[in-house]
Amino acid sequence: MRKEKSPFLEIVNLSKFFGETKALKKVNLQVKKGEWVSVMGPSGSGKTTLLSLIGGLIRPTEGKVKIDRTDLNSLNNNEIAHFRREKIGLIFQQHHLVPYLTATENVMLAQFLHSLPDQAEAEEALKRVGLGHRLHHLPSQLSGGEQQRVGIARALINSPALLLADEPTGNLDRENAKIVLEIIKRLHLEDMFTIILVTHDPWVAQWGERIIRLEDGRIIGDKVVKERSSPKRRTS
Amino acid sequence: MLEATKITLNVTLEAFLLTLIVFFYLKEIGKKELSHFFAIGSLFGFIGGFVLNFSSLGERADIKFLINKGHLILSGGFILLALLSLPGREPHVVIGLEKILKGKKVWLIFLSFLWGLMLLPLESLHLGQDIEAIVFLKERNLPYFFSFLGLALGLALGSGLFYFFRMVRIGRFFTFPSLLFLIIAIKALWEPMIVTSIEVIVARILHDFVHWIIVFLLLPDHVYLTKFFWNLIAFFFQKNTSLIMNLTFIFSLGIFFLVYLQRQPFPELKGVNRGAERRKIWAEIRKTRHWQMLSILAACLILLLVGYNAYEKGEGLYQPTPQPLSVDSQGFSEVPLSEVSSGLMNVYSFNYEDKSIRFIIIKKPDGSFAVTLDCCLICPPTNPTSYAQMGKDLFCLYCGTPIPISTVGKPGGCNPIPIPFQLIDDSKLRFNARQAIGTWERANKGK
Ligand SMILES: Nc1ncnc2c1ncn2[C@@H]1O[C@H](COP(=O)(O)OP(=O)(O)OP(=O)(O)O)[C@@H](O)[C@H]1O
Ligand SMILES: [Mg+2]
Repeated sequence: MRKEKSPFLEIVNLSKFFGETKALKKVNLQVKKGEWVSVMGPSGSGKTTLLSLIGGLIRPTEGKVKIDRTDLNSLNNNEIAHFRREKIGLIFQQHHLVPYLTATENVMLAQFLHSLPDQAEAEEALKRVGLGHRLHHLPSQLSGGEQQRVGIARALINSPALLLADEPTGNLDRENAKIVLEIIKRLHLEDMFTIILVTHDPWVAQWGERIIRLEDGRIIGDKVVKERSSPKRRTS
Repeated sequence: MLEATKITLNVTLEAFLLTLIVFFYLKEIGKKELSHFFAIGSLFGFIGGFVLNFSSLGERADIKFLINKGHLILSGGFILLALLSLPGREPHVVIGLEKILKGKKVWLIFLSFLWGLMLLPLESLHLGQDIEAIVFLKERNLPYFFSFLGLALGLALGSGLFYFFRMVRIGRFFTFPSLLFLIIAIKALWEPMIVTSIEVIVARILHDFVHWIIVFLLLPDHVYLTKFFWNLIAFFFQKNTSLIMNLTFIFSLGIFFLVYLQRQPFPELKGVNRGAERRKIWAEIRKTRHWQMLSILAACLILLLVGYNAYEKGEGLYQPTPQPLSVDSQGFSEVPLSEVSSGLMNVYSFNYEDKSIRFIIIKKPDGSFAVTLDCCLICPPTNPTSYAQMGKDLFCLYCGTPIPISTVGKPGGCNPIPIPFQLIDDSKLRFNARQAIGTWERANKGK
């Protein structure tokens, strides 16, 4: 029960300076397990920087990030990479799929880096994001929305406890963005991982349960917009 | 001096290596009871070795024989067990053994006794061929102090091994088959011919049976059974063939284990819902399997080195030129012992009127002497000699049969035909050479 009380993600006095540029200034934030948090803010407000710090992709200038009671500062680079493989799924605006691997192989690559590849499971994951008919296509043979769905399948294949998404729908039209967000919503309900989703689009942000506003490296707003969703059993 | 140290150090370390690996393996797979009995068995082996070493018991041929045979049977038994244990699905299943032994202390004690027996020869005796065992400390006349120095060093290093093995949890690197395989390999460091005796016995029975039929039917000659045929039979018990067959056998066992491990499916893991979790467990199992394979590969490497070493050391054929025999007017010949005491065969030729025959005179390992013709009842004589020597065997150059020198002087089969002789003043052998011409001619008639 103690576990319920301590926040899943805890950010304390987090700052990141790039030389003169102060991208993030003493940010404090707590996120509960299973929460879907949208991070909004204008360009250059430090959204990507915050996400990178949470994912352990960059080191803070000051302050700390604690995920599931692990302080990222206490881990060396190898340990952080290992921690990320185990706990965190990443989705970017650019899908970063390997161009010469098929959709299935791209997902299997993530499995391989985590433990070992399992084709049946990878194909199942692609079916869950509605790509059962695109298993053996190369990224170049897929639409932007489909590519992003492969990215989601890949990010979630190792059952991360935390999904970090940076403008996942940034390249998509409304219709395709909706498909992608529906998928994220369904998977979130089924597996109850925590989501931090960065966007500058209010329509995208309102899919979350809580919206954080970032400006000039500071949190200027934090409000709950929705009841927390309760988990649903997977129906496949 | 230092040789004594080296020998004891060597055997102590070997015994430690075997004992510790098995001990930690049993611990690792949670077979505590078995591991305790195993430890007791090892202790028994050590103590027994010492008793044999420092009492007159260790010099008794029957006891050495017993240990030697027990050793052989156990080695064979281990290979068999390794094969039997393969059908176990889980990587750590000692098939059936656990169930059979459950609660049966007597069997456990028996098992530990067997294991102790297995360790005995390693620990105290060096057993050569024909049970000409030497208790290394006593018969080599090496001083006890240096032997104990080796033992002390061995104990120290062995304790080091104990802590090291415990630290790396050595047990997890083995499956039951790979463990047994490694034991065989380590034992092969000592004696590469693990299955040789069985194989030689089979070949010899076959060979003797054919010979026996020829003798029994009084066939005049090898009409159908040509030299080629005999060579074929002999091939199977030439020394290097035997070594190669041994190694091939053990290697194929190793490759079999490797393939088996590689192809074993991952467990179902009921109750694990998330694919990622399952894959993680599988990855862990796979990693362990790779280590287990490594242990087999290590065993193969050891065997390869042992095999190469044994092959390089393989004894060559010794074929002396026949020396003319001096014979007195009555047809008697006297050969001074000094000429034959080296343990190498001596061949003498004797010409009388238009006839020419040859003798072999040799000192046997037990110190006695044998005088024989350089031919047997079955094979036609070859030139310049019919037999050559290879280590502790005479070799029929016609049919390739090896004859242990300890049996030379006994009549029959492929053995060279013995000639009666007298030992005079412990300094020379006297025998009737002229009379032997008749024997030679009868034996070789029609060949
Ligand atoms: N590696 C870097 N080196 C130097 N400055 C950087 C670096 N990364 C980010 N910055 C600066 O830090 C500030 C915050 O950048 P960040 O990428 O976090 O903004 P953002 O909110 O993600 O913007 P956008 O919506 O355009 O993606 C910007 O002024 C940016 O120029
Ligand atoms: Mg950004």
